[in-house]
Amino acid sequence: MSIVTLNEVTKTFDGAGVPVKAVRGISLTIEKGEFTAIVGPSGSGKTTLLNMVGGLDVPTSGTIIINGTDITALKPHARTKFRLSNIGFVFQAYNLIPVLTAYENTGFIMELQGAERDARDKRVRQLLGEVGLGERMQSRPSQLSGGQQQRVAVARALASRPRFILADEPTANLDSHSTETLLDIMEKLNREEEVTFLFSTHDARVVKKARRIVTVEDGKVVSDETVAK
Amino acid sequence: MHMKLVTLSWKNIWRNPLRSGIVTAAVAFGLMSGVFSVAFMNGMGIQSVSAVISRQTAHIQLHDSAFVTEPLPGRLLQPADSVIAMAKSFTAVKAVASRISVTAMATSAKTAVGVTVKGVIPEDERRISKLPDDIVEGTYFGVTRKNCAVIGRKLADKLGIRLNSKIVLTTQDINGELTGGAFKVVGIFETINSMFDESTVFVKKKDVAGLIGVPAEDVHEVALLCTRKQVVDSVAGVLQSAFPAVSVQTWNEIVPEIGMMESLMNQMSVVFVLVILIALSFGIVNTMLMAVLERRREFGMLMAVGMSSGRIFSMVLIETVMLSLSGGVIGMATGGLVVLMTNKTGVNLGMLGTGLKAIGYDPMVYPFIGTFLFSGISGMVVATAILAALYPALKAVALNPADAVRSDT
Repeated sequence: MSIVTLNEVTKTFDGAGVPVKAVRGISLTIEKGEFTAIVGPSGSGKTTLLNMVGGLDVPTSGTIIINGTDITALKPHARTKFRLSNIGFVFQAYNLIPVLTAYENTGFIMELQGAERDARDKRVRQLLGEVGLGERMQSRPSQLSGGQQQRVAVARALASRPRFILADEPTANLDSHSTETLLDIMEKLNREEEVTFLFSTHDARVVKKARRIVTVEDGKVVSDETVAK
Repeated sequence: MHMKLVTLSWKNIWRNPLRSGIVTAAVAFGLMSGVFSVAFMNGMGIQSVSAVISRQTAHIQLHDSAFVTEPLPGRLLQPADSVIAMAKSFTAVKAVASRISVTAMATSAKTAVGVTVKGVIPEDERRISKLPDDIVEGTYFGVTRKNCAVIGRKLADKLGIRLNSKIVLTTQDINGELTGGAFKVVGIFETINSMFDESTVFVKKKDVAGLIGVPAEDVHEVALLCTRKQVVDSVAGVLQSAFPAVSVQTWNEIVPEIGMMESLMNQMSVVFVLVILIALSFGIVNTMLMAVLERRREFGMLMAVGMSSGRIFSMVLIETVMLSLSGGVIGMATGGLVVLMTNKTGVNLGMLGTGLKAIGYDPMVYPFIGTFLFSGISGMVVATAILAALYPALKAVALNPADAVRSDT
């Protein structure tokens, strides 16, 4: 079942009067349960592509359908609302709210969605337990290591039950051990709960875990491999 | 989510306790100063008006219409008995006093000074005026002798005389002839208005009546003291309607400059507070802009995960308002406390005493701020907080989430 479908998506930026084609006619489909890495050198258009898939930017042309909705046709306010219910984000720099505890950060998006307190509490506790932070719920980000913070970010992204998780260089700021732990957790969630992950990464360890590798260069998909596991 | 937004905003303010603490302290100090300044000027104005009413004009004065423009001895108030009887019948009138008023020369061995001589009935004056409390030497007509006078300290110094000295008062009688008499100074007063002290002599009504050749019952001036300032205009209106040929003047009409000064001081104090608030708002805007720029990545994340621009705007707005009001509440409270304290103890302007007295202001000021003014300033604080919040909030929602989420801060 397709979660994300890109049809001839292009993105051109006007850089000081000179148009720059960051993405050139990419068509791509992401199925439910995929564990896909999008790789490519700096300047390949990878980040721009992910911004559009995440609804943070709109293509110059082409369409992006997520779970049956053409997000390119949505107005900014509607796209924001769509992201709230459909897309989970894990960022390179964790981006936790520093004044909130791990528990509060994890439940934050559910609060934005207006979830009931009891349901929210149950889900947050379950997810923090799954990422191995059941004992650290009341810790603030400053009291957690980088790896622990990223695990809270994963829990937060999952809390709202999105269609897929967009992880932008999630291991870039982590040491090897934390990276392994994080990837193991994500893999487990993907395998056991069919959570769809779409990574943007330079990290070979992430690529090694991925079951599909899409390579982007000069704004185009140059290879799209499914890796047998 | 609303309560959570408020809690989150409050926590966000105190991420940088030092910075927020400094802003809060600045706002608090600025407002405390503003409240005290307003109360100080308000107190000066109130005291000035009160002094004029309690020593010089009372609340209302009635004269013959022509007497107001040219105070000749023959322009007696008619019908004085009816005016006095009606005034005394009002429950809103606390006291009534009748006076004879003439211009004269007060002469001593040293010099002569132009003065206004007020012929008074001491028992009536004690109910209408606080001048008897200002006696610094002698008594306020505590002697039974004829031709005694009570004069101001400034006049005594100018004439070079002391208590129990004699002065000669020369004036015109009812026929326009020069007349005069020697008066013994039995009391010396000192008010906060040195000009008044220098230019006014009080004698017994019957003594000056005899001097100018009118019966002792005749009157140039009837003065009224009302129960409160708010009823003065309506009492004056009723009397004017009842006696259309008589000039009925309120204190504000007799000494309009005093009322104008009070009003001007109130307006100036409001402007002063406004200036303080505008200056403080720049500091608040600056602090919040720094906070927004420092949190670009966080705002980008919030937008990315689906927090609407309306909620982000509200969050920054609430943060700014809370930061402003933290200092605002402390400033208003401490300002109010300082005013309450100094209202009891007074603020002695000492060095400026002579200058202030010359223009009718008491060098001992009792700051005062009423509920209306205090509420007005509180409202201005809230309005300033909201206005100061707009720009930082707009900057926050104007961020591009795709760029912001990857920025360095």
